Amino acid sequence: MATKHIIVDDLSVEYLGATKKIYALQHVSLDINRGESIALVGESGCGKSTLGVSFINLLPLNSRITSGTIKFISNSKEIDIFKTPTSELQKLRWSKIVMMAQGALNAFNPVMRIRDHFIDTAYSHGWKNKTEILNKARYLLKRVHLDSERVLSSFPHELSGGMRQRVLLSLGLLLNPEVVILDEPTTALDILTQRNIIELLKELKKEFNFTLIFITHDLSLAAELADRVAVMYAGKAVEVGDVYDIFATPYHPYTAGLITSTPKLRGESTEVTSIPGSPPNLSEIFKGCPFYERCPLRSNVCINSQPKLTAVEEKDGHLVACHHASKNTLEHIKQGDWLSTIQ
Amino acid sequence: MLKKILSNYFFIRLVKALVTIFVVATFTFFLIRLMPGNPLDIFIATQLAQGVPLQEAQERAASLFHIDLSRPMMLQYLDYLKNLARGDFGVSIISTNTPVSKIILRFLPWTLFVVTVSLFISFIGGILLGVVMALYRNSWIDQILSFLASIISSIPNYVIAMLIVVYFGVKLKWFNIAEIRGSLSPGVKPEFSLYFLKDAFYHAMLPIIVYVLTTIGSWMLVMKSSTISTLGEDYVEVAKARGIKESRIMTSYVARNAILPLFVSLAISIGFVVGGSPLIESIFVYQGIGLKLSDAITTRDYPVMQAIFLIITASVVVANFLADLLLGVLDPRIRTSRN
Ligand SMILES: Nc1ncnc2c1ncn2[C@@H]1O[C@H](COP(=O)(O)OP(=O)(O)OP(=O)(O)O)[C@@H](O)[C@H]1O
Ligand SMILES: [Mg+2]
Repeated sequence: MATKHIIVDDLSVEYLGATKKIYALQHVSLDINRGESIALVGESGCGKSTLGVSFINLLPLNSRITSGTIKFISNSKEIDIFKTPTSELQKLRWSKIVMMAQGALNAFNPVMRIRDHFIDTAYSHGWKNKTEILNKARYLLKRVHLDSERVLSSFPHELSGGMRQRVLLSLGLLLNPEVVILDEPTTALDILTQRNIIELLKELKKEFNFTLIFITHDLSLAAELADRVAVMYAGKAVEVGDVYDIFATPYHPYTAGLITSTPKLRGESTEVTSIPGSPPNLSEIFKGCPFYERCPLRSNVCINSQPKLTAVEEKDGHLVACHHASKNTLEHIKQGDWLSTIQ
Repeated sequence: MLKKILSNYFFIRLVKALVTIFVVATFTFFLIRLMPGNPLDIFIATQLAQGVPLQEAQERAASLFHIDLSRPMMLQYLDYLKNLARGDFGVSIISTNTPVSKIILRFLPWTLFVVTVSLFISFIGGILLGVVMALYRNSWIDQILSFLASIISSIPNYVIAMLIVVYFGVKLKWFNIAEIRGSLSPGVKPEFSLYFLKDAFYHAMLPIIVYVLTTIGSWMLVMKSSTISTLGEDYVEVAKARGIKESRIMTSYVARNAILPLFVSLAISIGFVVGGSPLIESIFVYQGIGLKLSDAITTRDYPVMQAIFLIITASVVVANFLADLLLGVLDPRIRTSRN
């Protein structure tokens, strides 16, 4: 049995918009095991980034946590992230939990050299010896296949997007974190650079042994990198399981839809299918299943009763939130003409 | 080598600056001569208004002014350029035989003093308040400050100056208007002493208050919006995630970047320091270059006007040039794009 590293329990987060509330996370529960790599997957706007920043309690000012906790287990001590005072949180951020927010291409202060970003980070966490910091920085930059001297004395704008992403990765490893969270780290990069970053991540994970939380809307990246996958839909986790189980036998029709709509570049057919409809409005709390509007398997139970995330019968650790969950969901989906085809 | 110099960014800038100054000098030379009336007419008119008979007024004018206004304009212009090239601004028409450079040296320091002090207070104050407004945006502090800033920066400075004179001076008698006017009390000489400094500040106080009040509002508002947009930058978010202290983030990440766009306006303001404000200096009878300029305009003292306009132009151009250099030092992205 794997040991737990982060426990998200019943987390709800809402944003106060200009005119209405947005319920971005609704009663999300998720366990993250030590040393694993888990992918958070879902369409745009389903709350992935909101969950990502919750891990270090760095939610924007117009947000509110309305229920739940996040517990982080370090040195067999349980730390309640939302109850930790800011000064303690500051120490924890980047030294134990590294969260690289979406938009990492602008992660660096444009008027500071890369060197000073390393120094600034290390100083903030109590390091004193500049030579030591720079030596570690050099090692890490070499580790991500960069010319360390040149990069250290560069300004951010002098580096390409892919280089900046690598620099950010090595900056992330400066303090030997236990957990690394990456929010869409490759979205802004071209396919080739994207591939390199993924390969690099695998190597780094092997060497430094951190727990990896990988946020993406791209299921194929998740398949490549993750041991486990958590599928999110409209502010909820709808299916969680081992990557193999999720791909081979998805129980939730949404997961099945995502899998079949991932373009397959091999084979003669290059057709792309997609789930019809669009995600629901997050400014109301659902009475029933949030996927109801788009679901091919829906029935009357789904209107008024919200499915809970529960373990499937056949498999330990595979959880799904659907009234009609079954191991045959994928078959159903493939046979029906539910998915719309884009040639 | 030569090619490298010619294509150098700063060389090009320098040439542009010199051309600008030359063009403006030429335009002012001709424009001020197109103003209705010339120094002689104006002098005679004032004499007439004082009850001097026409005949006598004309004789006085002829003996006072040794200028020949009938000389072709083009020749006068060439003379002007020739003298200018030697650093000679010429001689005042009205204060006969006084070199223009002497007049400028006497009046300019006072304006520089008042406007520099004001600009310093106003820029620093505006930036600090702007950051506070951005940090506590939509709080009552921000709402009050924004309201005051936008009101105060839309009132013309001479209106505020008049208000101060009429309300605080005449009505409330907080200060003695007759005593505070001018740039020094009678009998006080410029020297390095506390006594002199105190007197200088006492006389400069009202103009400084007016300048600060009328300019601080726009610094505040610009800094506020610049800070708000910088606060939303990804690198600020990432800096927080890196566990960097709030105070360090505010200074090195937010304020440091938010201030960059303000430098251009600061440069332009520094350029205008030299010109002062004729209206304000007239209202407070402050013996600065602005007051001298408005005198020179009324009496059509061409050489003095020309010299003051030229100095204003030159300082605006030079200030812009320096700001450009400074911006290159402060913003590495700009530095790169120039090389
Ligand atoms: N600061 C905010 N203020 C108001 N609403 C917000 C804010 N941030 C996010 N939201 C809303 O909350 C919901 C979830 O946003 P979130 O950024 O977590 O989604 P995401 O899954 O990361 O999407 P993407 O794939 O586009 O990054 C969205 O509907 C979004 O519009
Ligand atoms: Mg996101």
